[in-house]
Amino acid sequence: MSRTRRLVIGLAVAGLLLLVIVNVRSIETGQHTRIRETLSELRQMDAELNAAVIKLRHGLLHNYDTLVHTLNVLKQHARELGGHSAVLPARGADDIRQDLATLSQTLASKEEMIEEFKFSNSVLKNSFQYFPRTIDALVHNPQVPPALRQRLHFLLNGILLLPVEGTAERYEQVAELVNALRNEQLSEPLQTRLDHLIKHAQNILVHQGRIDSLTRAIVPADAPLLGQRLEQTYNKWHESQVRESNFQRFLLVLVAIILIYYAIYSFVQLRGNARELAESHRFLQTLTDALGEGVYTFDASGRCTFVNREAERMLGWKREDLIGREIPEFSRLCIPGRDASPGPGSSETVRSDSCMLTRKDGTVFTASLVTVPFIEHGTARGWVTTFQDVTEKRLAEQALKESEERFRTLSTLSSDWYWEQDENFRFTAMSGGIQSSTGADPREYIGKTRWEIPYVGMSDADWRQHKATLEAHLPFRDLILQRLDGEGRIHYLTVNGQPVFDEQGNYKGYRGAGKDITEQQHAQEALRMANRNMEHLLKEQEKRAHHLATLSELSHVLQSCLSSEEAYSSIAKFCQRLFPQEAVALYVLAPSRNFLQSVAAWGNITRSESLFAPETCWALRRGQVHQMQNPHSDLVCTHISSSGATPQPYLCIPLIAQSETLGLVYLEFPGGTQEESTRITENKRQLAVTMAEQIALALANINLRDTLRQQSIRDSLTGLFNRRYLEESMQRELARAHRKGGMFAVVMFDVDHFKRFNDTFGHEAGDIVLRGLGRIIRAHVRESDIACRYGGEEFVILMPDASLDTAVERGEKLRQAAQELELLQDGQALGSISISLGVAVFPQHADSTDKLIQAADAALYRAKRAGRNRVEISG
Amino acid sequence: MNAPSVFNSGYSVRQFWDGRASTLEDQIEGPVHNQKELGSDWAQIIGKLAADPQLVTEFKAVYPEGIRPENIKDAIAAFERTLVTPNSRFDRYLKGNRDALSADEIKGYQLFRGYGCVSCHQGVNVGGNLFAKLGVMRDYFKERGGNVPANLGRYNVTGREEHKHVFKVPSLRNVAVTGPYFHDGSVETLEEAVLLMGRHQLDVAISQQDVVLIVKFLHALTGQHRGKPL
Repeated sequence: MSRTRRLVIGLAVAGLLLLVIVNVRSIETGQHTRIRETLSELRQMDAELNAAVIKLRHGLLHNYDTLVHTLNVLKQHARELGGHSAVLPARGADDIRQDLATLSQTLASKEEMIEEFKFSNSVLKNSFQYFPRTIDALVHNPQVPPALRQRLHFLLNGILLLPVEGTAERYEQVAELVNALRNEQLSEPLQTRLDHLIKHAQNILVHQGRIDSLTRAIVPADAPLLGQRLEQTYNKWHESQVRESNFQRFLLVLVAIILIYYAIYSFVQLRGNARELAESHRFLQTLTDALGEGVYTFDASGRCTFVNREAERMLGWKREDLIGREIPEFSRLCIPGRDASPGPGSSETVRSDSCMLTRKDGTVFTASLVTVPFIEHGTARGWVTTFQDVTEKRLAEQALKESEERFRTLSTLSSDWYWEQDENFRFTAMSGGIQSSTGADPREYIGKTRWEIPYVGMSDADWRQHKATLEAHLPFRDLILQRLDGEGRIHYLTVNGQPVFDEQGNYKGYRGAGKDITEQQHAQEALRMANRNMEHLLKEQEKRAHHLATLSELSHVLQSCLSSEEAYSSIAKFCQRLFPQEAVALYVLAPSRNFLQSVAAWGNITRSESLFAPETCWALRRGQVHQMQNPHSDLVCTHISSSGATPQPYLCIPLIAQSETLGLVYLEFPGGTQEESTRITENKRQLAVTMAEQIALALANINLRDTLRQQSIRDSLTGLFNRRYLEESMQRELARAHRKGGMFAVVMFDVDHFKRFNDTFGHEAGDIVLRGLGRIIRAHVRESDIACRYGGEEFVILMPDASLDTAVERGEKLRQAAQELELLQDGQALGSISISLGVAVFPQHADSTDKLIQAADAALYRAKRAGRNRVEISG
Repeated sequence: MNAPSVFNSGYSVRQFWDGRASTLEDQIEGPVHNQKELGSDWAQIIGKLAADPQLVTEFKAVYPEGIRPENIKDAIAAFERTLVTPNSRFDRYLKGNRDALSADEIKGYQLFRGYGCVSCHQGVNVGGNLFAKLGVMRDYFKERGGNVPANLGRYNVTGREEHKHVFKVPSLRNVAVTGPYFHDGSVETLEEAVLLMGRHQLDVAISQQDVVLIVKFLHALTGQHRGKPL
């Protein structure tokens, strides 16, 4: 461990040193370059400045821009260098700093001198311009005395020589000359000129001198340029810095190499040690894995250092989870020092049979545990714990105890009983339950076989079979035994048993349980009875539902029936379905209401007449259902023929709808036997009544419908069809004739001079005529003909399949019959009438109903024109 | 006090009449603290500038250290250096365009040189690059009277006796549009200024005719800023 730490520290130091090496620089390269450049420019600029000063001094340059510009650049460079000096190392760069300070001082004084230089130069320039001019003007003025003129010449020479040969004597000489001039007294304006000249001469004297000394000061002949010394100092310093840092770098690399070498060496050694350690660890792991017990170790700080596979399994933790974990985290209840696990410092071996360990999922189990300290130099450095899960053992012991307890409680409290037999089937144990349920003393059983007990209801064969089962050492179930108790009641017992074998598989006897099932037996009987009743009821229910469905269907069918005949046959079919074993007859009351006639019958009607008067039936007489079950006690209707022996049981049900009797349903039952199906039951009676009600309703409906239909298609006066019906029938007939290629005739006729008849005898008489004619027409038409009152006294007869000849012939017969008609009004003869007829035939005369009627009408019109009372054919 | 124009100040040696500021950057300090001008201090100015978020962002893009006195000064100086007014008619004349100046103006230029004005008013800015004593030939202040400290000029900065009444020679670019004249603005017209200059610096009485011609020339020094005449 400490070796690893050493290795890590070594590597870290080496890395740190390398980092330092990379960063070791006396001054950053870029900065160094900039400083060098600045210094070089400083020098260059100073040279330029000096050159500009010289040029100005000698009148080769006429402005100061260069001076100003170079000075500004120099100042800027000096400032930059000042900025750089801040980053120089504090130590060893003092020379540079000093030189830098000198530089900026020099520069400042140079600037000051240059300022003065510029001013002097400007003044000088002007004075040199004005001086010769002025002196010239004076010299050439004749008023100027010759002596003065002479002196002025001297002065001019002296002044002009000053810039070229400015010796001290020369200055002195010129100054004397100027002073001499001050004493001259001239007349104006010469005196002003002279003063002016003196001023300029004075200027030249002062400023030429200043210029010369300033030039010498600004551009000293032997002095180095600005920054030159600084540059040298800096270069020297920089070289020494580089040398020094190279040496440092060399040293650092050396140290780093040594460290890296050491690191590699340590690493290799560590690898070797680690391999050995891993080997021994694997061996230890294998060894402990082979143990059936859980093993874990922990160090002085109470942290787990090792676990074997069994411990992993028992604790539910993964090895990598457990290593480094504190022991109390999974053996919570084994608190060091207080419980099985010793605390740090304890060097005793500890054993515990009931230490509680915690699994990963939080569940706890009981373990027996041994903890042995690992002693080094007299103190415990760690502990080894082995443990076994004893939970199951504990649980098993506890379960056994509980089970015995339960069994004891069960056998004393239960009404069932437990028994045991030895290998010879003799009872060795019998629990008290038998006494509480059957009253038998359990002691009575001990030492006896089952067949020595006074059971009843077991035949010898039964016992033989039971004994065979026992001999075969087979288990048996539900052996039913009966035994009488002290009060003579039978107890039903059921017994189960199974053979007992010891661990070697040797037969040791039998044991089992018994139970009193007397009450169960009774209950089962009752249940069977109830079931049978239930079944019967269900069947009845089913039959009734079926009947209801059939009735409903009958009602539907009857409503769809168009005529009474159709209804009768339908009723017959449904009655057969509802009463398959009985005979039924349907009687209808004749329109005369004085007899009943059978219109439908099924089954074998043995007794009832097919035609009888209503008063012969008790049901019709009383207007309610009449039931004849027993001829000795019940009334027998007289429409039941008395010939033959005892009449069969029957039902007469009157058909009554809207308080009008329509007829009767007669139901004859086979009778004669005890069988229920042959007798009149309430169900059947109910069914028959319901059916009769349905039939009565349906028949009444059909009658009503018939009447309504008659009323809507008939003319009430003549009883003939009306015009609408004719038109419908004609359409139908036309379609039929078209389809089949058939023919039909239309005969149209009216009463001759009907208006005159009406006027003479009144409307009443008119009606009599029409009614009488209707009667004749009805008598003469065939069933397939459709005769109608077309309107007023006009009639039409549609004759299907009739040819022209047939139609004319039949029209003629009608005409004759009309002529012979005798009509009476209040017993008084009205006289004879005549009719005129027109005949048209399809397809001969027209191919549509309208045209056919028109054609017949036209023929009728011709008949009228031709003198009436005749038949005319459409032309 | 006559505030020198900021136009073309980038070519100048030192700033202010008395040259108390070595550079444009230094010059800015003056008005900031002068009670008669901004009468402020840097903390106050930075506070005002920092209140404008857009300005702060843009400032940061140019000066990563943000708004600081030296950065403000640098920015203003950089702006001032762009305030050049080239392309005056005189510039065009010097570049070879002989028609840029009228005959009078050319005469004026010749007089300007002949009288010796050009000894001081030279260079790119026609002056502005040196200091000179006002009253080289004749005591200006004695004749004029008035004895305020501002008249002492550069002496106020250096304290040296020889610097009394020494002022910066002003640039004559745009002189026609930057009146009134002299360090204290005491001279209203260019004509008067030219006359005074001749009398005190050169000890000549420039004739009225010549003054007019010189002034005409001086008008030709008015340049352009961003292509527009001033």
